[in-house]
Amino acid sequence: MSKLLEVKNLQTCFYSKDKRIVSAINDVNFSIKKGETLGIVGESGCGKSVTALSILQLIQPHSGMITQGEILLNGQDLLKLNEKKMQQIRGNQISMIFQEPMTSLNPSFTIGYQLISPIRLHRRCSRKDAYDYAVSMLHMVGIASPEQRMKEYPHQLSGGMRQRVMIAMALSCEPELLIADEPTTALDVTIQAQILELMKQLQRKLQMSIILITHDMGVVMGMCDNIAIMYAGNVIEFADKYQIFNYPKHPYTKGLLSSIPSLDRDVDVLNTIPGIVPSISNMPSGCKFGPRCQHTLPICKQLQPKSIQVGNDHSVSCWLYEQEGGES
Amino acid sequence: MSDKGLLEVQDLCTYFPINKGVLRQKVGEVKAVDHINISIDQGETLGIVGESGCGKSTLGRSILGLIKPTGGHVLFKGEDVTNMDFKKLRSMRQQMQIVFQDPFASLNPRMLVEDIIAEPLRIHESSLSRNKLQSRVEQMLELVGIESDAANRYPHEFSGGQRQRISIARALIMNPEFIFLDEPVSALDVSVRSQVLNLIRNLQKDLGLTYLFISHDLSVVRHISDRVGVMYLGTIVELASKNQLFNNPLHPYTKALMSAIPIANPNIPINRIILEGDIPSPANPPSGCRFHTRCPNVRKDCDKTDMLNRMIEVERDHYVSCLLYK
Repeated sequence: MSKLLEVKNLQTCFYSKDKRIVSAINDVNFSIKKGETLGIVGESGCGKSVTALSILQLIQPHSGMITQGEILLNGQDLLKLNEKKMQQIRGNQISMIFQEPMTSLNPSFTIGYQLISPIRLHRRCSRKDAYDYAVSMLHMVGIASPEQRMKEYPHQLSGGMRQRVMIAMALSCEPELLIADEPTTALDVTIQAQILELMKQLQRKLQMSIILITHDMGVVMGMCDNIAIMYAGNVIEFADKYQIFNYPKHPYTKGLLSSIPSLDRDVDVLNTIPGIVPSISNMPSGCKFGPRCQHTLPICKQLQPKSIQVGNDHSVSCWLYEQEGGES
Repeated sequence: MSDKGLLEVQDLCTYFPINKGVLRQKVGEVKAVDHINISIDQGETLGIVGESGCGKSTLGRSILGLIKPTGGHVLFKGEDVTNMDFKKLRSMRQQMQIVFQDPFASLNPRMLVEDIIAEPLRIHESSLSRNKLQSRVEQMLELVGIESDAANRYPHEFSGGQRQRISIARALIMNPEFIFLDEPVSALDVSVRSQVLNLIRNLQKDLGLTYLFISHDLSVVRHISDRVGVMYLGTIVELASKNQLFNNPLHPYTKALMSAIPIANPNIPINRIILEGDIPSPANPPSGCRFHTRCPNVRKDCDKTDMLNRMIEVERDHYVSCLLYK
């Protein structure tokens, strides 16, 4: 399978209040194949959402910019495209679902209006065709009596239904890549299960790739093929989910996995990662996980580790594996 | 259920009126908590799980008297809290405290951490000298693992996990026996969440506290609780010890809820029960068993038989409110 999207050395910076430039993500590398699901996992503020917004170039020009890197979609660098060309890609080849189904729909337009406009924009079809197509999309995402719903406003729908509408909207142009930014975080578990199941079904049907951004290890393990773990703006580990779960390499990944309370066994004291996530304006030098890490080497404080291959498609950014990587 | 419960909840109901029209006439009610019976023993943690809107928080707040219940009784050490006069209730509250969900909203941003933690003391023990007050605050900060120079700072200078520790310190300063923890870790990141969970557990061991722990996260509830109650639309549908509930869930809703939880282990095959539809509105709950509209094992008399208040003891201390086990 060929690579659908490849992100290379991506760096996005923001202007801070005192006119300094701080980088929210640094040297981010990952790739995703056709039909595959990639999970990006990390805690709040680690740069997951910034990565997603950077791919679609939705960073507000007055607040920040992409300073480095390449984003290759089918070999074409999106960063070299002008705004008009980019507009044709957004919602068409790459589309996105946002976290808050409550706020990402416009409250003053009907569901129908909001569904039809992207279809009309990208498809050049008649109003009637677009309407019929929108109804069939609502039907596909499992909304009962779709004609009725087309006339309703977002506040008349429940959270789960709104997220279904968002999915219908995102998929209406049959994108090759769907970026889902915490699609189920605001939903209850039973509704979350419904939505995730729906996404899986539609993925099989439409043969699309999904980038799933979440902080929930459980969701990622259930949905994804590959996982990228992010910490403080870097992808610190990248591998398939079995590798990540069974043989995690980075101390942060290990800590993260062992600090989740389990449903099938009892533990007396949960493992913890000491300290807190550093803020982006005050990053430690060297390895950014250094101050919270229990295996620090002298070099960790001086230099940021590079990503090293430690196995088949398993890369990790940690000085502990530098030697190992050199040998293999 | 044992007879020496620290807290005894009998037939508790909390209804909210729905008012409509110019005259704001009452046209209906939301039955947020409907005929609930539970008891919590000394030193025990009772976990309550359920989805949003099922009445978990209302249950806890009604127990503390923060919301006046519509009916039923709450006995704390044998004394009825529900119809106590204000003065007595206030002194009772020294022994019953609460930790809120959102550590960003529950601490006053204009108050110093010291004042936040000392506020309960100022109210209940107003004669205390300033020095004594300070030393108590320092004690509390040490207890929850925050360095003592934090006392002279403002809440915004702290991270979510630290703020939740401050909330816990505020709840602990009156040496309460009972603490209601309302989703105390839902707003926290995974790596910080485990720190706060461990703190909550250690404090219970050291101080002999009794907890009512509410969460929508079953794995957190399993970790922290001794017994667990599952709530759906204002009623408790299953109540059992942690091991009974997790090894042998009986109510179809509990089963569905458990299977819906994403498990952070790709080696375990997933076998999901996907529930159809949304949670019905509590203003207009379904007749009979409230779960029958979404239940995969629904029988024909489920919509007629009122299951309110009917807990069937299937095995010792394992109660379920479902016709399948009649």
